Amino acid sequence: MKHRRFARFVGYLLITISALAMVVPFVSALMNSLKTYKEFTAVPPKWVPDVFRWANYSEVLQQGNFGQFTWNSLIVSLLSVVGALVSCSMVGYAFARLNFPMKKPLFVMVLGTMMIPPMVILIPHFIIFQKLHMLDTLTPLWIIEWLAQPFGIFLMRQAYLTIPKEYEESAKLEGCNPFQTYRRIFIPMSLPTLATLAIFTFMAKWNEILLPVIYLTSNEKYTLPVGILSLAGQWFGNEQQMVAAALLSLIPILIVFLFAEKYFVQNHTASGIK
Amino acid sequence: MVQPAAGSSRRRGDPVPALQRVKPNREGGWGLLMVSPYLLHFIVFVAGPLVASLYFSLSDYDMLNPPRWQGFGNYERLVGDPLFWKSLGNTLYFAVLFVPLQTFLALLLALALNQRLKGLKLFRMAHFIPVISSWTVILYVADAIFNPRFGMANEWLTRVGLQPQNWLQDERLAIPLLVFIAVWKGIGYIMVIYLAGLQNVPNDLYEAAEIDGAGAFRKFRFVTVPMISPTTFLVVVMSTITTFQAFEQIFVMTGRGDFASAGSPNNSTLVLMLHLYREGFTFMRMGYASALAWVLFIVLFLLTMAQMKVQKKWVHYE
Amino acid sequence: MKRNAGPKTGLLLWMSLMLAAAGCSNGNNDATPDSQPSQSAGAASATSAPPSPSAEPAEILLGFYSGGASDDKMKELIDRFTEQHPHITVKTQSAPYGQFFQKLDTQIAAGEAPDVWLSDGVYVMKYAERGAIKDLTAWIDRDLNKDDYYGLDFNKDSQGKYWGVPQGIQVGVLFYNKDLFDKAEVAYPTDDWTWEDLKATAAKLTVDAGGKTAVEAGFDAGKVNQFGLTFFSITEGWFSVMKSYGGGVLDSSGQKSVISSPENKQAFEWMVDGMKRGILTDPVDLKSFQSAMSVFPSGSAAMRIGIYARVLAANEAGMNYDVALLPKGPSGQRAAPVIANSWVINQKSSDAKAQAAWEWIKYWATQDEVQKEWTALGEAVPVKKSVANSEVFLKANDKPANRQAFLDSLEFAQTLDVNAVWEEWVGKFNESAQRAFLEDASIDDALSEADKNVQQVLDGFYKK
Repeated sequence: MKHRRFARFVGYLLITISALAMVVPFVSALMNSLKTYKEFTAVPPKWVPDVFRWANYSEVLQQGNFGQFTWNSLIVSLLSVVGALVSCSMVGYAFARLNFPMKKPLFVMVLGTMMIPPMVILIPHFIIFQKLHMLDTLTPLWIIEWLAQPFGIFLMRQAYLTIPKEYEESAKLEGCNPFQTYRRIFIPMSLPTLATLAIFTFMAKWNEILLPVIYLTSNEKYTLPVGILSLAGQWFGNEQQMVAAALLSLIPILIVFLFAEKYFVQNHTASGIK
Repeated sequence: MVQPAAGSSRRRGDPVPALQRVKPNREGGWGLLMVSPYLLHFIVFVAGPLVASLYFSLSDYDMLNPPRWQGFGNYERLVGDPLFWKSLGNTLYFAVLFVPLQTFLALLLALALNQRLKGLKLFRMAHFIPVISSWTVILYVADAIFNPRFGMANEWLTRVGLQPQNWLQDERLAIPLLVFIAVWKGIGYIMVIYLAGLQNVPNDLYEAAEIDGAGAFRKFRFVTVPMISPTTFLVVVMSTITTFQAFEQIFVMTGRGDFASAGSPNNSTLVLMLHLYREGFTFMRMGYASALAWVLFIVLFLLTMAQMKVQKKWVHYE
Repeated sequence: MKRNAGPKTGLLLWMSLMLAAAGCSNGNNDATPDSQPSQSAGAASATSAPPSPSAEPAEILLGFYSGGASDDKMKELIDRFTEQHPHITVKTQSAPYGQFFQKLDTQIAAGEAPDVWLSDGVYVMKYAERGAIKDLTAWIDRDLNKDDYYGLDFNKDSQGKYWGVPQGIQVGVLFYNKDLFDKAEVAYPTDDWTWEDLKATAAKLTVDAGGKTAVEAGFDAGKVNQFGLTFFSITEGWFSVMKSYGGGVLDSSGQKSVISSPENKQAFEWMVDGMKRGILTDPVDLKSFQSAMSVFPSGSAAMRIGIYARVLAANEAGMNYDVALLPKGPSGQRAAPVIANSWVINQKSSDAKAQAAWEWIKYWATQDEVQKEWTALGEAVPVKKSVANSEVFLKANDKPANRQAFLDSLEFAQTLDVNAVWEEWVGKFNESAQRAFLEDASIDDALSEADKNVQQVLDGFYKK
């Protein structure tokens, strides 16, 4: 018993050290956001500014239309999350649990889709959205998430592959069709993975820069990261203020993380290491 | 000719003849219906762009003018391009160090944090902070530690009497250090995937193992590892692909906002995507960049197929 | 055996779907840009007369890169423009500088590009020589009196054609930190300095970790805390040194490398010696700063070669500094690097739109009010001489006091041997120069390597 308590103590210690190492970027960014430009460029670099310059926050919020940018980002990110949850879980379920013609080759294609470097299909995609008259709207940024992105499919498929088949069979005996089995049995059983997919999708969409720049033309349609980047000119940007804006923009991701996080540790206290 | 998926038919024991497509059995119909979002995705956003990029790769194309067909010129150029080979080597080196290290550490981390203990919620969130930080912020932090002139690392080294290092400016150290930083930033992401995966491991397996008198290590080795293997497979495949497509991190960490010096020192951190981006969007050789993309695609495809094959030996599915 | 069928059929299915997609839908052919003829720049519009002004209604798309305060000013100026030209509607498109050109190239590929856009000065020839922008010679000849403007020639090619009109000018001068000079009790730079004079003074301002300067015994060149001169890449680095020593990179055609010359070697000896002695920052020194741009504002270097826009950072950091002309070469020659971000017009715009776009450019360059408003932002030297020589520019701020130096430097300003493959040959040159700077290669070897590689880049485009 004694050595077990000691092991737990060491475990806590290691995790604490690790967590501290992980928080460094946040602290560093926070400190940078409170510097003057002079302190920001100081050599050797200064960790803590002499005076916390909170005015960086108020000044940066006065430039640019941040309310509008945040709203745009919310629309894109939330619609994307819903689309990804619906489409990826359904497609992932089919790949994991159903038999249908061309299933394996189709799955190979899903994996293949991930391997295409995004840079080289940028122009074709731009032209497709041009033909669909969706340029300078937010639609291209979220609509593709409704069409089952490969990472999400893969994530959901792997999760569904681990669910014991007894559940499926009992549903079948009750007369459920595959879609009902998916709705009633598999969705509730995969909440942790769905939560993961929600976090990842939200984060990716919230932080995305290149595609919004490419697809959006009007300033009032900008998403938040594009709005923040636009604060700097070609020659000069008050970087400490941009760090302040970037830090504020992380808050929604943290909120989503906290919401989703409670699904991560549900029913087990044991996991192999104690 | 076309066989139904082997993995699932084994389970059901009654393989569905493929040519029943004309009148699909009910499950086949449901299956096709439920994958239809991806089919639509493929037809609209994958097939056409792939053909286009294949055509670009066989053309002289600068984006500003229509592509001009030229056959295999870009592929010939690629074979003789020392930077292509260098960047391919660098990318593979990065992946070989990065993927196993990150996977292993993330699993350990997830196991440690997968407990209902006070305060672990905060710890989990802490590990997610580097994930949501931008690479620019990561650069500031890495710089504070590994800056050859002002960094803490060299200060410690000198204090214990060791030779200070040039870190990211050292051709030998640059990639291992970038891998270290990438693991630090990315581990929280993989941790989340593992945490979700661990919820699918049935509790009774641990209880049964405990009754058999298994200790912590045996439970880890004989329950957790096999039960989590589908997630591990996902993580390995995904990390390999994202490593091959890594662009921003190398661009920011080695270029510091200056495109010309990204990949420094002496191209020792030039990775495939950086080379591709530079050729395509900076030097306006989109045709050549597309050829690079296709080669990258084929390399990745072969790697993934190999992983798919090997997985049957170690991945445990229900 | 069965299991192997999966991946293979996957590939087959993929290929066949792709072929099917290629066969049945025209959409894929559309994935290639419009079939607009792509003449090379030379043939395109050598003699085309400008469309005559008309009051035909036109809507134009105007592209520029955004930047905090300048966006609002831009909006204001556009509103005023449409008031004056009621038949023209202006839609704008702005993007952060870092992504602007990737977006632009994608738009050009899809035939969606703006009718008039702001091009980085070093990219004008990239678009001109690839036939993406219009030859503005006839318009400029007709509507602009060349003597009234600075910098129209910065967008003139070797055949005398004009491809853009500067939005604002960046010209290089010598920035110096007065506090550091005062502390070392060294006299400020003067306009008759040679590069050797600069180095002699810089040595006194180079301080190592132990507080010794580069002219004292026991100075450690490996541990410099304060550099005499910071030095960076082409524009604010080797270009003006090489030019004022009588050397250079490309000949006047822009298609031939002239790197292997005794003058260049002399210039390189000056630079390599300075780096060896720790007086000038070498490429590795630069990497130890947050960015190469932060060396001077942080007070880690006493001097820098800097374009006009560097006053923004220096002022924000609250520095006590001033500027002087860049030093002379051994034979008294001077060269100041110059970049003129310029308005250019899309080659594919219709005559009506191109005409409206030209109205915008004319409005920008000729109207005093516009020039004054833009100058007040403090980002660039205005193109209109009357405004540049007025209080608006010369006393816009109290620092730097010697603003006249920017205007005087325009007398000997040189563009950066800009051509269609500028970024690529600069990259190659930097690679070789870096080897010389870090003493991984002798100057002779580095220059001949650069000569070979740069010529290869040039031939790759011009001798295709």
